[in-house]
Amino acid sequence: MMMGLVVTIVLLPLAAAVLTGLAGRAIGRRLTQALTIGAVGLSWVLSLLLLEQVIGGARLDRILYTWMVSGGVRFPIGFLIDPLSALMISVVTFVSFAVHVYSIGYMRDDPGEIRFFSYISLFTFAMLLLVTANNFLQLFIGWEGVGLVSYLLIGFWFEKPSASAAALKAFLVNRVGDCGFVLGIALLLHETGSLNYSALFAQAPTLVGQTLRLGFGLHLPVLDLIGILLFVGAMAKSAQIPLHVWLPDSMEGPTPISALIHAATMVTAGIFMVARLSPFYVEAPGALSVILVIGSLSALFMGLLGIVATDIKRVIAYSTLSQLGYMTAALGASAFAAGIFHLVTHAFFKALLFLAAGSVILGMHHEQDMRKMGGLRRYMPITYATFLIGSLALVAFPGFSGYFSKDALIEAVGHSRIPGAGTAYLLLVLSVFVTALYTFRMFFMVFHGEERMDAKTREHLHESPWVVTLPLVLLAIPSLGVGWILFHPLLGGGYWGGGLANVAGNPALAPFRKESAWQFFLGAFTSPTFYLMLAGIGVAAYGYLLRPRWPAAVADRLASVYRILLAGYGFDRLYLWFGTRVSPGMGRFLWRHGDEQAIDGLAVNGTAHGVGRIGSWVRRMQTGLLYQYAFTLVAALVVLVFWALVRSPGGILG
Amino acid sequence: MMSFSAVAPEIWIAAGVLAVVGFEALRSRLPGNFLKTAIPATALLALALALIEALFWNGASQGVFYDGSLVIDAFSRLFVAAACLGALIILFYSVTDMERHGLGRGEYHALVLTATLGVVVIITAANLLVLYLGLELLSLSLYTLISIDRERIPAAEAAMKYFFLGAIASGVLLYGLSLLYGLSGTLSIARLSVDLVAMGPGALLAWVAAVFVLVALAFKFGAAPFHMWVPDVYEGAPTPITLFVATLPELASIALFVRLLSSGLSPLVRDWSGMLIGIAVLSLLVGNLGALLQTNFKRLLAYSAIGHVGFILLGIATGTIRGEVAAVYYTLVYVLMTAVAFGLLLALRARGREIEAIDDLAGLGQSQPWWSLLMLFAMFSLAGVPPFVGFWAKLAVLRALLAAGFPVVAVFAVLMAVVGAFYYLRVVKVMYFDRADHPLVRGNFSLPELVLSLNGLALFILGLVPNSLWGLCTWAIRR
Amino acid sequence: MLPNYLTVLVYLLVGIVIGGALLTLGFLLGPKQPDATKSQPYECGFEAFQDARMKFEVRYYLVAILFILFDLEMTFLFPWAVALRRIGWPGFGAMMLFLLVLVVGFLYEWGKGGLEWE
Repeated sequence: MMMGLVVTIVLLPLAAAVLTGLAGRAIGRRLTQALTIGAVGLSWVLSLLLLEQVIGGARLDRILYTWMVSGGVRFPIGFLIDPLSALMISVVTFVSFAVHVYSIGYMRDDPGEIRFFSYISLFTFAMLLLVTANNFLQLFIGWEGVGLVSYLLIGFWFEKPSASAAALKAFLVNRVGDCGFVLGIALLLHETGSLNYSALFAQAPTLVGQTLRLGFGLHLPVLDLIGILLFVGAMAKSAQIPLHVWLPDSMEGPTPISALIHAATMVTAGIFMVARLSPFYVEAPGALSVILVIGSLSALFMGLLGIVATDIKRVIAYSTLSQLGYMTAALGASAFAAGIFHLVTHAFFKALLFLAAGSVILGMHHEQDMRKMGGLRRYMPITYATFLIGSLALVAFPGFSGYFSKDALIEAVGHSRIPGAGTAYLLLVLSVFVTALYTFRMFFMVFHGEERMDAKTREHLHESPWVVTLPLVLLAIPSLGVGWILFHPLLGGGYWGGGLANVAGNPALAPFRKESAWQFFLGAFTSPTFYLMLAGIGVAAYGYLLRPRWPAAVADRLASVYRILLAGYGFDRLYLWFGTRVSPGMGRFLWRHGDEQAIDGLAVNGTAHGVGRIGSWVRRMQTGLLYQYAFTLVAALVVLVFWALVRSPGGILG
Repeated sequence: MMSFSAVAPEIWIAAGVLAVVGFEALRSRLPGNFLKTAIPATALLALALALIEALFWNGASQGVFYDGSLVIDAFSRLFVAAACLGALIILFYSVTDMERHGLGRGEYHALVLTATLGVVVIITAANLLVLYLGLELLSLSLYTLISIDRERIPAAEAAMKYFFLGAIASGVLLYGLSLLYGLSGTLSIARLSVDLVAMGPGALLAWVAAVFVLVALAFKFGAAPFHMWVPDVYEGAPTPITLFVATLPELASIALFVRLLSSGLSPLVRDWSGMLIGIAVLSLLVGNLGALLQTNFKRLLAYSAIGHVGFILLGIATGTIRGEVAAVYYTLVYVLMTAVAFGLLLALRARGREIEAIDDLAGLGQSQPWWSLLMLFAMFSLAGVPPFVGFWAKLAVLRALLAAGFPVVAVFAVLMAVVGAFYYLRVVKVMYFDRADHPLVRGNFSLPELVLSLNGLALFILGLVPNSLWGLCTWAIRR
Repeated sequence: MLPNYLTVLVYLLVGIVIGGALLTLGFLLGPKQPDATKSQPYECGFEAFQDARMKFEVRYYLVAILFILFDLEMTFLFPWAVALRRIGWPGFGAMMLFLLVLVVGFLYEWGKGGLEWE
């Protein structure tokens, strides 16, 4: 029964994607929209049913069938439904549903509309496959599936060179991550002999303290190594330093995609994966430290970039990077519940922000530069209100959903005893200020202040149609309320029921076990983060409402810092340099000396020449002269007889 | 009580021979049109009946018959069926071609039938003399068949060479057999092994005798360094006869190997494997490297045959049941693949004559898409490209080699297979990418087209379900 | 074992003695008037010393092969006739089959004109 439900939820979007992808032109855009939205909507409703069953204590971990067996390794297809995956399914289907509806308005009149709907349905399927997997193979299929659709959608407007380039960049960077991910899975398979999560969890404790001998006297702890390798995959997918470079560029894709894939769901796949494997990660403290440090670094330094960006989507993209850093840090502190909590709330409010930004972009006729906006609140009241809700959630204003998850997360890191937690805590707290600053800088630049757009745009400026604003309202509700509802069950541990490791006995989560949402809400006004956040908003208000010239003056004063931030710390340049100079140089060296001389010269052509020479020799042996044939026959006979005489047990040497 | 059911296939074939010869004797008194259909029909019918007898073997009549002359078991039934099926296919493919050359008379059919009879006798032989009888029946028929087109000088030359070398090989075999008989006092293949074991490891003469037998078998098989006749005969003989030479004697040889090595001379097998591997490795080398520079398609297939024999012998050389099954499997697959390649040669005509050079196939992909697809199947399968059945055959041998602990030989075999892929793929390249300066046409080939298409498709379908044929071979060997 | 071969030995000796005696008698008693033709070794109607690759009538072959075939048939028929009582009807049938094969072959040769000298 439950298996049927899960399979239906997962396969509905696939059916819609295949149908509209293959026959989209034939059935028309209306029916395409109806089909995909219907399928995802139905999946969402069913996912709520599933969630209810899971809350009621139902669990599922079963292999549906074995895809193939190769070399003794079984490749299963199976599903694992527990509180974590049920929660993810609900979030994914809900956000996807909202984005589907929103896209009706946003993608209207785009020639690739049908293709677009087919893609996002396919994405939903891949994402669902990823979160419901009970083994690494299926996880990997979903992982690559979402990556593929992400690539396709970033380059959705492929006629734009920048979009194609961004798609390529996302693809390449994710390959780097995959490299680690696949190595991790392979090592895991080697150590446990199975691809199933359950096998890994069962064997993880026995692997503690084991080392992998790499030669040269190098001994690495197996669990930490696996954990870090898998996390490299997560770093690319969830855009953590230093593999974050693709995410800002991914904003070249249509805005609904930025909301769905590059904010709410796909980029959280890495977070989800680590949480999914939490029973294993708690046995690998080394890996956790790495995760913690990477996450907190990303949280602060990616946030800083948001302060100088002028493209509205890029600001939100940097904020996504920063928030993903928060989640990662929570995982590193082994406060998996806090990380997932933030993942959920973030999915709602970040999708909201993106979609609201999309609404702004629609109103501005696809202008994304915030310097050409301002004062939009008068023209787009619904967008304005929902954007404000999203911003307040993002900066963790007490009472909004982001507050519950983010402040809890920061506190959890503060209580953590994982090495590196102290520094991480500091970085995260500082980043609160930064978040507030860039968020409200964006908010004020877009909706307040003087109207900087040209006259023609202003004339046509109006609120977006209902299909656009409805999803905004739909998403604004959880952005406001979901924190109140989920705080206690998720952090107190009531919801997980053992599905997530380290909820009950974790010192990092200890403070929340007895607190109610109300108590936590009231606690806000005594914590430093609240005042840091207020300070951030204050600075933004000062700079962008009261003294509009002040930011430029600051930028002038701190010109060198400003340049570094504008250049995104130079990651792009470094990679470009590596990609266009170092790597081709190495390639050229290997080509000249390795390929041309060693392989072509000696191995390939040498072999071919050698083979050819022997071939012609064989041909020359074939003289066509009968007596020679007969002689060969008899001579070979003699040789063999001689051999037999020498080699036989009773023979000369026997 | 004597029962004739054990030799039912042989009886049908022999009856077919008599009927065809009888028709031919009465040629002057019977209408020409009647003979034109009656003779091939009789030959086909005889083979079909023999095939049915072999296929519907129920396992009841298992054992050794006629004072230890013939052995009837799953293996012999499988191979008799394969031989009859092969001969049927060859007759199907060749009828129109032989008619065209004015050779499609009773002699051709009678000789094909006697050669097939020889193969069947070799397969079922349980006795050294019966074995020799079958071998000579096969060989004499083949000598005549190769030179059946008396006017063609190359055919006569090929027949002469084959005859001369075959006579030497027969002498060698007979000498080896007589030594074995002298040593053990028995002609029964089954009892031979008992006596050889009883003689202990010191029997030097048994070794020499075994080497003589091995050399003769290797000659019949066309394994290097006893392969010299193969290219000349393949090129010189009329194409239908080449097809015959390329397929049925291979079946007989592998059957002989399996019989002699797995029952008669089994005590020597382990010590033989060195020699067999030497021959196999040399065959792989000569076959694959020799094929590289060939321009004549039949010569190319000749060298490729030597290479494939190398693979088959490697399976035998492992000395394990698994290797034996692999060799048997490989042989059956090889017969199927070769039949397609030669069948296509017979089906197609370039410049108003038979296809000889590989370049004659240029442009086939455009002018005859279906036949070129089948040729592609055959070439891919011969090269061992998955999922064609040839791939599984190679894989089976390689796995048997690895399981038996010959990793180096297996690596060598793979390397040679890679070399082999080159010249097979060159054929494909010529077919699809080279421009034709002449149109390729189908010969008058209506009825056999269906058979040929089925044969070609079998390479693909059997490749998709490799276990079916494999299961059959395992069953035949293990039983 | 050896005594079994005694008869063979005796047979051998008698053969040698008779053969030797006849040759000796002929040599001693015969007239001797040698000429070039007479002193040649007997060679079945061919020149004894000439190129081995000479041409000769192919019909010799036909006749010779036919002769050998039916000659061999006789060698099978003799023991068969002696043992006929013991092998019974199956033996009879087998020989009839054998003869049928030969007859068909003979008919073939006949039908093909292999027996016509001109």
